[in-house]
Amino acid sequence: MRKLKAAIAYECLTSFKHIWIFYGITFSIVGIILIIIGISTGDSEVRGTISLEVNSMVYVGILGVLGFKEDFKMLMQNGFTRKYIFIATLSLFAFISSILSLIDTIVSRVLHEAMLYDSVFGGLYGFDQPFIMNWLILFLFYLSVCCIMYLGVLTVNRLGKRKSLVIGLGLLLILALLLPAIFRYVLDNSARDTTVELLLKSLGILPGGRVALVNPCILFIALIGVFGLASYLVIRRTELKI
Amino acid sequence: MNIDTNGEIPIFIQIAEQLEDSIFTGVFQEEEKIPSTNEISALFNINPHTVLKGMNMLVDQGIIYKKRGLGMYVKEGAVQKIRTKRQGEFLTKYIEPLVKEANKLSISKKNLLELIERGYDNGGN
Amino acid sequence: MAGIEINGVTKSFEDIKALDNVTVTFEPEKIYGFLGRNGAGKSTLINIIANRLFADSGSIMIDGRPSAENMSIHDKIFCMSEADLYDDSMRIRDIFKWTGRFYDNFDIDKALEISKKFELDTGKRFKTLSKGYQSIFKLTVALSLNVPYLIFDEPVLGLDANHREMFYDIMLREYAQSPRTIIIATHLIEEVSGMIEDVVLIDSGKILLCEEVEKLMEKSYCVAGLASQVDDYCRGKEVIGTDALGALKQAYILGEREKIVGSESLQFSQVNLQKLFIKLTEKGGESI
Repeated sequence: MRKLKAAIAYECLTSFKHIWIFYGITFSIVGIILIIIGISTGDSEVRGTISLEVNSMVYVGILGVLGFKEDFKMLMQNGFTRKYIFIATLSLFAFISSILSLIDTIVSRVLHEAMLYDSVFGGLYGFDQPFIMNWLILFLFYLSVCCIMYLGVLTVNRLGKRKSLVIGLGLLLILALLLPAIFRYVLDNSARDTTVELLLKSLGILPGGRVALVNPCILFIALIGVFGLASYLVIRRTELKI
Repeated sequence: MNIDTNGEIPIFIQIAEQLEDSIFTGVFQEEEKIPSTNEISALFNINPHTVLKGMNMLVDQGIIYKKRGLGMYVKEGAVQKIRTKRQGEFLTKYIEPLVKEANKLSISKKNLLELIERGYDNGGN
Repeated sequence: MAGIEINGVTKSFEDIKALDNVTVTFEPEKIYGFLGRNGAGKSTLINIIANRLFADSGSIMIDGRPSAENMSIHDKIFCMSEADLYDDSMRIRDIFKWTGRFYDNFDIDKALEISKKFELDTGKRFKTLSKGYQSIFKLTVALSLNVPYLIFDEPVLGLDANHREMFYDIMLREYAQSPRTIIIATHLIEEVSGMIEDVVLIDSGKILLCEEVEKLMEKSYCVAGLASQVDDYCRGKEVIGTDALGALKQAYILGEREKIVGSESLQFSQVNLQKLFIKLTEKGGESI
């Protein structure tokens, strides 16, 4: 237990410093853009669509990848088993996701009040949702991105660069060509509508402009469960590449 | 002391021989402490068990003894003991090879004895 | 049973067999020389012991329990490896601190003291250290850690003569203070031959021998003389290698030294570990 705590502390504390760098960069870019727009249009009432959520998503994604590479080695050297490393890494993901989602929720709400910025969350679900739901859904979303990226990097590590490139391209092809093709040519109108409806429903957007925030929660928890479990199964057989 | 860890003679025997020599030449006096196993081990990069084995040879011969908790000490009368032992070995260790070599070189017994006399005349050391 | 028991371990990479049915035991509180030429399989076996790689088949038991993915086992073992596994952007003293949190028996004061002896600047980041000092740092961690099983994979790589001497000195002092199993994997045999009690020799993924150094020395010898006489003498004996110089021949033999009729003019001598190692691995592959 002591060792597990130490591993979790290691993961969290050593990644913590990067958060401030990340926000430093994000906000300075946002600030500069706002100033430039302000100067060039002479309009003080600018509505930015700079999505904090997307930035954070990229950040947690990168973290998922780095989380594997560096820390796996370091923890292996210090006698940790893959099970412990997995738990520590997931704790790191949860830790970072909760902080990022909290900051993003607060900032986007403040900026919305100041009429400067509309968050993606607000755009999808409306701006009058409770604070806690805004935070929870962002948190679960970031965490699922982490898990997806983690499985990705574990798979790449396992298969080697060439094989993963082939598989990656294959997946991309399916997503970019096959799915739209099926959507367009195979499905008939009503099936198409049901699919779209189902997708929106799983994201919590119901017909008639109603919103069900429970749905995205379930969706993201399911994603975390599936990708987390898959990551665990892969890491249990992962060897250290030296 | 100088231990050859890659030499022909087993290391523990080298340890015993060199400690014995140091005692005989007075580097370590009787009833004086000799360096500990660990000191010798670290100094010459030798496994402490090997050093101990060498020391135990000297313990068995009654040259050194162990004081509980203090270390190894040179026994009283050790120098005399070493001298007696070496005198006993003198024939086999020095004279026999000498005679053997003399025979190889066809040096007669008389000649050899003469040479020994001359060796004494030349300073004896 | 205490110790590291390796039982029938086989490991392949792609189609190269790195370890072939390796069975060997490392007993408690002994210093082992784990010798083999480059690529013989030393690092692979060490990495399997350290849970970094998995064996294809066979098992490793440490103190009677299977070692793979066993947290309670890996508290007892530390492996200093050639590969750099540390977070290289971290300062040395911070790595010390973390090691102290990861292991119960890490003595940070000792680590700082050893660093001072080596003049290792603990304020520096790992990646800014020279290759030699990176090794020194890793050795410092290992030497400050009181675990029952300590493994060094090529420990003195990149160290100058003085630093090597210091490392051996500190290691032997630590060992004397609290005996533990120390496994030194190296191909620099001359330097360690006095320190190791037992030797494990690996070649092309197979264990050639596992023996007490002194016993090995006792039962190996070299015989030299006229080639025809040496050949006569060697008949029926286990010859592990020969050197020839004109009509002269030297043969390296494993077994009891015996003087037989007609061998009076032959010269007998000891073989040192280095020579034995070279002769055994030259031949390669065959088990004795």
